Amino acid sequence: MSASTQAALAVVGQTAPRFRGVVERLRLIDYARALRLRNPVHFDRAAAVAAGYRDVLAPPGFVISHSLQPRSVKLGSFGIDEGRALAGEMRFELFAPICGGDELSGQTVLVDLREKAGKRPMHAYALETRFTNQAGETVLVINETIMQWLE
Amino acid sequence: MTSPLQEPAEFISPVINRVDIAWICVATDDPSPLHLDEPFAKSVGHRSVVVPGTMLIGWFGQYFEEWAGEQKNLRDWKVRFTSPLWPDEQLKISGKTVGDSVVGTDTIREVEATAVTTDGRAVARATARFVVPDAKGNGA
Repeated sequence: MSASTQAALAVVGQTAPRFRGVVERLRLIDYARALRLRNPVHFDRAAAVAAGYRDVLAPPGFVISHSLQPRSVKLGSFGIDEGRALAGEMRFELFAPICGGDELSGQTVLVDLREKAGKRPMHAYALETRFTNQAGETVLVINETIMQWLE
Repeated sequence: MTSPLQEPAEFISPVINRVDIAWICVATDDPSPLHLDEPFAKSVGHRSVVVPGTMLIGWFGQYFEEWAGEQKNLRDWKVRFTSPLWPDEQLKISGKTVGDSVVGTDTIREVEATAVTTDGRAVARATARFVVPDAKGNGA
């Protein structure tokens, strides 16, 4: 294990600052239009309400780990250089719908760090971000891997 | 709408243009110059601006949501990026069922999908698990 990995391991278990923010309906609509999504519950409030939702429904993948916190703050909390970071994998676990107007809060924690050998060794950072809505329900958990070259 | 019991038809994205990239950057509050500033993107070694991964995530999300019938049936899903995507490219997403398992009273279907450009370059792989609705359409 390299000295830089030993040093980086010291931040495993640490958290980024807690965040809180509102899921804005217009951003949801812009997102759905940019992707030309087909299901109107994602961009038409009347259709969403008719389908039983309180407002337009966030499509799967709309809320990601840096939706409500600056990516630079999230990555910087764990010593990850945003300019050298690459997205590896992102896993979404859904527990309850997220709709326009919902107020979400959450926090990102560094759950693991591994050194990957190879021609260009890298660190693989495993981050977990949990989102809770205004009713205190856990609505979404995102686990992601961020890769960073060591050189 | 595809029945959740069927593998869905291949999804073909629109040709990705720079206006859509700008819209998605606004909607996701992602002002990275990598997605918006051609000279910057070239200065760091890319051939053009890089299409945000959030676009692929959004299309995979739609693909799995439609396959599951409703979002409430979708339990979890993940995406792994394998190659950058560039403006003026177009994606095809196709998938297949991996298998079913029974968890409690639910039948859980595991599926996988890949995204390739129309010229055949693989850009991402994804998997998902969803509750298969019963004959009355009741899911999760």
